[in-house]
Amino acid sequence: MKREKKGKRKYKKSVVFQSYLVLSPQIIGFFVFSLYPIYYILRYSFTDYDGLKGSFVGLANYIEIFTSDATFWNSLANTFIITGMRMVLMIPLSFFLAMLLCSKSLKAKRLFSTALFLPSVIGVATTAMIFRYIFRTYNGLINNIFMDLGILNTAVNWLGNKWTALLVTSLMATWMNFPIYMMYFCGAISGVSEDLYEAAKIDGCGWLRSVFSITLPLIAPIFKVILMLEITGAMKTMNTTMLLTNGGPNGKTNVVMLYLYNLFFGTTSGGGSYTSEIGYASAGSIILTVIIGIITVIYLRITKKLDELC
Amino acid sequence: MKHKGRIARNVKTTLVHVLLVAFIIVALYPIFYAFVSSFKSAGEILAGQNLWPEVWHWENYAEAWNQANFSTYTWNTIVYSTATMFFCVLMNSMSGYVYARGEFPGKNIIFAVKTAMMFVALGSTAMYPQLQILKALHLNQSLVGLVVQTIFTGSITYIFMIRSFVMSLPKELDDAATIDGCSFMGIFFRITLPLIRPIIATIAVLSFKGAWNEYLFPMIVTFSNENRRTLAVGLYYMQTSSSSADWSKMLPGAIISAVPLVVIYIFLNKYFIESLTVGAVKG
Repeated sequence: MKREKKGKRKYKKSVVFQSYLVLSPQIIGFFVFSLYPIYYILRYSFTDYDGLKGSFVGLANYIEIFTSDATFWNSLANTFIITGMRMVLMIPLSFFLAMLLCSKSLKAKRLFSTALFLPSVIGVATTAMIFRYIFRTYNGLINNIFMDLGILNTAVNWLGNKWTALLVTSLMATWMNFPIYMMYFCGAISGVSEDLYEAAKIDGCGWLRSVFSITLPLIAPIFKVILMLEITGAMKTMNTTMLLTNGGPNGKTNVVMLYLYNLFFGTTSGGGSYTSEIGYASAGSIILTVIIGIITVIYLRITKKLDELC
Repeated sequence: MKHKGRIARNVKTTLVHVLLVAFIIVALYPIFYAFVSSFKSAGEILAGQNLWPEVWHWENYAEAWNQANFSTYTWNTIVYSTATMFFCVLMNSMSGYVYARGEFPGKNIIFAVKTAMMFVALGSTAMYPQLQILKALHLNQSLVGLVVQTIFTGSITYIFMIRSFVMSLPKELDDAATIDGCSFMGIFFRITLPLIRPIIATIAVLSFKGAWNEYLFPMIVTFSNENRRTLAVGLYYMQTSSSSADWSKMLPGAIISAVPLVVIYIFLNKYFIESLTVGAVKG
């Protein structure tokens, strides 16, 4: 009896040891690649470090961003515009497609979802190339179609104007990501009990009405998560802009993450060339992180309020 | 009455199919259009309005492959993606199991801290310090450093997926194995691992795809080492380096970068898609 207990304790000890052993690479990796960068950026945000030397400057970087860095705030505005456009395009589209995909009358569901999912398999570099190709000014597919239909009289330089470039960027992000949100919605919608629709039908409830009165309220919890993923994801995205316009013309379509990236690495892009300013860029990324954090908190507050109202 | 219901149902069925087919055509046409255009000569791309090429220029692909160094890029991408996939699967399946079944002090804290980090949105700006770390380890400019960064900064979703899958398995099997003298990790390799194969396949496919398509950090690591570039990075440089757009080279490059993954996708589409409906959001 005693021996058995002792054996059990020994076994438990070995579980603890093996658990730590398995987790140790990830914990070390977590400290090195997740926590240390935060410390690094926080520390250098109070200096004028440029990659070689730097000294403590206090809050000067922060003050400069808040008082005299128009590029930062313009880029942030562009980020918000793209986030808004993406949301308006992405959420209704992926929800609508998920409704179609989950429809009971659909045959060969697998085939349809495989085809619809394809855009998200193709990488961002290839997608950007395709989008630049179809949106090019002279003889581009989109311009040709619009001119044939008589919607446009002259070719539009889609990527050369601020608003159209932002629109194309949002379109590309939507094209790449809608399949993922569509499948999320699909998972949620198929969890709604079929009986409810039947009952609603007997009560004379139309299709549209049952979408708004049954489907949407029931998938609300997942809907909220999806919306949050989309908002925070869009705020952090820089690769679509980098590959489509690289912030050009003259930095007019720059997004804030790309601006900070350019400041960190001192690259040339979109008509501007940057010198590496680690300290200043660090301060910018702290401000951005805080802004995204505030938006997340506000979002969670609002959705909670809405829950209480409903 | 019954008859009317059937007609309504038929209309609905047709409508669902027509809408989906129409949308698929709109969504996939750009890919098809770019694919067909990649066989045109440079002049034809610039001037021609027609969809099909007059002459199929297969040599576009040979040129991209040889001149633009895509053979090296393809090899690098295969090495990078495969290594990332291997380590992602190994590390995440083992730690997912440990989080689900292990009992050790600090388990909840470690897990909570890792989860909370999802909400710290440093995003791409964390890449500068990460590069400095790799430099200190002398791993910058190499594929090893790239793999290390990718597997350690990967999202926690994989662990969530394994963890909830393992939790859904009956614990009696583990207990029986314990009595038979199987060690904690021995249970994982002998009993749990065979049972979680479907979710492992999903993670393998997702991490492979993620690495294949990743371009930002690979680009940063290969700033000055052209021979270590991956396809996505090569494509980016192809696009920015040429002053005038040479579509007859860029389009084949874009297609070459995408085709291997699309082929894998066609055969294993189940694993690409299932991961998302399994309830990753709920995690």
